[in-house]
Amino acid sequence: MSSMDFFITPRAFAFLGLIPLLILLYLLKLRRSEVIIPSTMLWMKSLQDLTANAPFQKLRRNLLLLLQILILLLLVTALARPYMQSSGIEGRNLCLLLDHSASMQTVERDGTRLALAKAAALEVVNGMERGDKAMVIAFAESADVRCELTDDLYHLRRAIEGIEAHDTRSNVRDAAQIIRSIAPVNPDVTAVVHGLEVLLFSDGNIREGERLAALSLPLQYIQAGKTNDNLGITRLSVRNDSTSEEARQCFIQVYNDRDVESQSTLSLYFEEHLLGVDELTIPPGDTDEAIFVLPDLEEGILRAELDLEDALARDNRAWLSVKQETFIHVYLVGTPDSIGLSMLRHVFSLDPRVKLSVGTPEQFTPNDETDLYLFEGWCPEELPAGTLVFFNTVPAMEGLDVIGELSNPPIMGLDKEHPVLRYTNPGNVSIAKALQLQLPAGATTLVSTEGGALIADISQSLQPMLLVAFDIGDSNWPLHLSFPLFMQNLLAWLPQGRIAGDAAIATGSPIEVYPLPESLVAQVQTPAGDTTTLELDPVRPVYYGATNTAGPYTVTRGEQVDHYAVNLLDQAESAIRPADEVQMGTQQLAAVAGPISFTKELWRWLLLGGLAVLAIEWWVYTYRAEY
Amino acid sequence: MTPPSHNDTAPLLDATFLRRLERMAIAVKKVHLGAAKGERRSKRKGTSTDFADFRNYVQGDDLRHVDWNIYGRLDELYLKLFQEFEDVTLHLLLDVSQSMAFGTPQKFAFGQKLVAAMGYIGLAGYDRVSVGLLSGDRVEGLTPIRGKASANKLFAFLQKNDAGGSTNLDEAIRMYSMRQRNRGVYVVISDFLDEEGFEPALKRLCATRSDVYIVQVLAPEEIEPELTGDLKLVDSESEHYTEVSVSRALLKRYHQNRDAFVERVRTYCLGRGMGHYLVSSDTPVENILLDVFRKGGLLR
Repeated sequence: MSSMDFFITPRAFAFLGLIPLLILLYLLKLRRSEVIIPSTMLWMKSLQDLTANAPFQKLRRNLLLLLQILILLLLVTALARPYMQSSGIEGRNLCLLLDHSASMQTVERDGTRLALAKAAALEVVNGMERGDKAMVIAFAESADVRCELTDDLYHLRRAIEGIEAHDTRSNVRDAAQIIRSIAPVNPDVTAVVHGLEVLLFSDGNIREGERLAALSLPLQYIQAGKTNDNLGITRLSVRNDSTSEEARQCFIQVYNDRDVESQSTLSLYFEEHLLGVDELTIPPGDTDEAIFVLPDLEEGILRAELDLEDALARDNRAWLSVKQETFIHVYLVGTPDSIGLSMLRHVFSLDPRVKLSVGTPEQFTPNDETDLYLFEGWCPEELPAGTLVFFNTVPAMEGLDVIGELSNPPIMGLDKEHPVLRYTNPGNVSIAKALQLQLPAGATTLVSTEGGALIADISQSLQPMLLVAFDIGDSNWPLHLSFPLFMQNLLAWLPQGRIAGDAAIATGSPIEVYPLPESLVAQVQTPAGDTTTLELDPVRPVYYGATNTAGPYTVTRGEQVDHYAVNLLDQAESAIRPADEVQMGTQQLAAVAGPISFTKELWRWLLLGGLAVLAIEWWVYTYRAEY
Repeated sequence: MTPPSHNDTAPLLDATFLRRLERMAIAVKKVHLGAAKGERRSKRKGTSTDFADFRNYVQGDDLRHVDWNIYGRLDELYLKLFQEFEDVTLHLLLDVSQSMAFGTPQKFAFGQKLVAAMGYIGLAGYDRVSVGLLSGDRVEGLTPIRGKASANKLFAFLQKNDAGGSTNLDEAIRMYSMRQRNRGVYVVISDFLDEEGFEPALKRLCATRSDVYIVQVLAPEEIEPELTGDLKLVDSESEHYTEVSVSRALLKRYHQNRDAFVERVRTYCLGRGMGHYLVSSDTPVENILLDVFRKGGLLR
């Protein structure tokens, strides 16, 4: 460590070049005012007596200059911002950033990593002195302010002790955003907190660390944990067997973070029934895969388990929701030779989930199997049950009427919040002509034009209905990307389509819950057995976000029960070897060795010293008699 | 004799003060030979009515002075001697070097008044008054004058001269004493701030065997200097300079040196039978005459 390492801005020492200038100024400055007196005889004698009796004459003669040089030295040293490491804090604002991701559940010799991190954080809090403030942020996949900046040690301790581990990945993005909001990097933005120091308590396996580095705040990394004794399931999926049309396979990948080759027994269960066992031998720092051929299964939860004891138990189990393959029955009714019909037939026939039936108005007979009716240019007088979409035709409905025709109607507005318009932008679609509609009460205009609606949601009670007021064949909509996307949204809008959502969810990600016609309430059961009731929106999905614990979740809507498997399945979290250095973009932050210390800048003292010397100079100048 | 007119004396002394001066007289300790008849007892035996001594008759003596009664009794011729009364010469020497041009009021102006007052006292007392203005190594002298009628001459002489030049007291006094052979009373008014030292000059005065009185004049600024800060002090006469940073210690040292210098002059004077008076130029001349000189034995 060189002597320059004790200064934050050692370049300020360049100002020492001012010393010769100061001496020059001093020499120039000392122009004594001339006073003519009767005789200098007595003065000369006095001066001789004084100088003869006073030691260090040369020094004293130039004492003012020496004091000025001393002031300059102190100021330059203050500009160089010297600092020292201190075990205590003094009037500082601290941000205690605690990692509570899955890897922090690793059991070390003295407890879990989270417990160690909490203990270290509590140690910092206990070392706080008068005037110190601290805030607590817990972060995993997202960040949570557990305690605002305060000097209340009780609340700080409670906030730290209250942090529990999540089965999610570690990402400081949100935490950095929070810190940025109170201590912005941009000097033009007024900071809520000045001089914030960030203490990161983690095992170092974090993502987007560069966001912390970009804050340009004093940052210390307090490493928690030492072990890397872990095997973990990092992938679990079901796929169709390429050799057999009917059979399905379960693919499982296991990662070994140990330094030695490890063996483990991998078991696969469906609900509580054992489906298979495999013995894996995994090289150190590598993965091994196992494939199980699944029998014909009903809906339920597949569970993979590693039969071993290691430091991190949370990644030894993984779940997968098995669903029966379901189809959406679509009945397309219209004039056989119309362009619109052929376009609709074409777009739905490509979707493997769809079983499409096409018929003419004469052949139309409603059936219970159909989920979605598409009426192109014609509609029956009596509407069937199910989801109905009308193209260039208007059903008999109270309040709904055709009042004219629109020629080249421009698209004026879009309701992008509606599920059928998600990710689509039909704004630049050209339409030759359209029906001018009078909409019933309660209808929602999704795409509007001058003088009316082009697409409207005319759902009645719980029966979803859409009305497209123009002939697809009279527009260039099929040539736009928004056309197939609209049709996909249409399928997802179906109650049946909503059930067929993604059943494999990463921890921390929300579960989308859609309403059923018969139920606007859902019960969500967590892996721990706790049940939460969700009020559902008739039109939009409701998100259930408390998925920080891995395991099977059950969503019950009326008679409908759906299983969701929430998994960690992240090799970065299973690789629990603590990082001695946190990678932050191009920078690396080394872990603090030994007790936590704080940078204590000394420039204030130097500035005070400079002022004191200035005062002494003034005093010397005024009362030279004293020396 | 009437005092000089108010107009003539206005710059120096007023008429009231002159009348008061007439009641004073110069005290002469030693008996000197005078130049003319006067009111001071002279060493010379003369023709007054005051008996002095007898002596043997020698051939050529005036027979009118023979004491015939003694001749009748003793049959020897004795001459009867009588006391002679003559004037005494008051030598007023004023230092008019550049250093005397300082002070509030000026030391020179103060000296002018003092010389005028002393001279007037001398003239009023039928003494011969001689004035010398000492500047550098030369002397501006006033031919000895007598009688109150010459007062205006004295005042005019004083007023026409200004202070200037350097000081060489010894040389100036030497030149003065060469011109003035009459002993009498010497009053020297100066600050004695002579880099060459005051001793040779005083020694030379001492050699005149006259009554010598030293009046050391210092300005208030010299007694209590009011200087502060870093200064370049320039000597008014030599133009030598000294750079000082005025501090309390330096001022204290200055006071000590000032007292030591005054004490040195005083000791030197007293040791040689000379009178010494230290006066400040801001002291009224009247006070000097009444309090200092009268109590000090110079005036009565």
